[in-house]
Amino acid sequence: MRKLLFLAIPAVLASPVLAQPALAQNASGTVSIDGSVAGRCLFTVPNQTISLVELLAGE
Amino acid sequence: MKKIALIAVAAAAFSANPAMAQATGTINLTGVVASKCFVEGTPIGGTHDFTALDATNGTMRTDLATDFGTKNFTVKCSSLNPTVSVKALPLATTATATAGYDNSIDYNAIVTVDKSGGGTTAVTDASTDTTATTGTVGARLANSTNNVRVTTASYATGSNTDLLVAGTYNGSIEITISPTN
Repeated sequence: MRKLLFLAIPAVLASPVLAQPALAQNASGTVSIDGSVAGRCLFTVPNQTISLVELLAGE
Repeated sequence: MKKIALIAVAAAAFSANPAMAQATGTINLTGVVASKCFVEGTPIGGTHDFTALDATNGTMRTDLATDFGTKNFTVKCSSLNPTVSVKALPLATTATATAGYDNSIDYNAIVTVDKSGGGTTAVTDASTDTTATTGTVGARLANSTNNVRVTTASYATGSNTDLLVAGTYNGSIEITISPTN
């Protein structure tokens, strides 16, 4: 009886019912995108004219 | 009686001729090809560094799609109608942004594949959500080089007047091409 059991175990292991199905092979990957923003300050109006009119003192 | 015996001997000799018998059979040949997709040559991946993302006035540069260009890959599949899955993740930095500022740039990632027999199929995913976009090629994938191309489009901040906060920005495009069984 024990001999029959030993013979049955390998047969069950080889059974297609228990066989692991093969996983489908995929083509995959990741494209990374990087960038940066530097800390800075700027004048949005880069120049301005200020008219002081008459600069000569009236003495 | 002797005559009968002679007839019997002759009949036995005729029926026992071994040279007339034939032994025939067939050897069957079988094999399998698993459903699979694989990259040939350059793996799907790489890094595109935009360097500065901001324009002179502090808002987002408007030429990012052109800067990214087209990334070419070659994928081969053994199955009839492969599936293409794309997920774009935004270019984002950890620095916080308040009103009038933004710390994230959204865009669309487009994967265009060539079909066997001609034509193309494009699968587009927006970085504004967390779900990947999946589509089928609609035919066998073309057996040719650079049959998978990745481009980007529609880069945008929340408002086009938003200033980008200082920092390092990272994003990614995840691509999977699977055999359809």
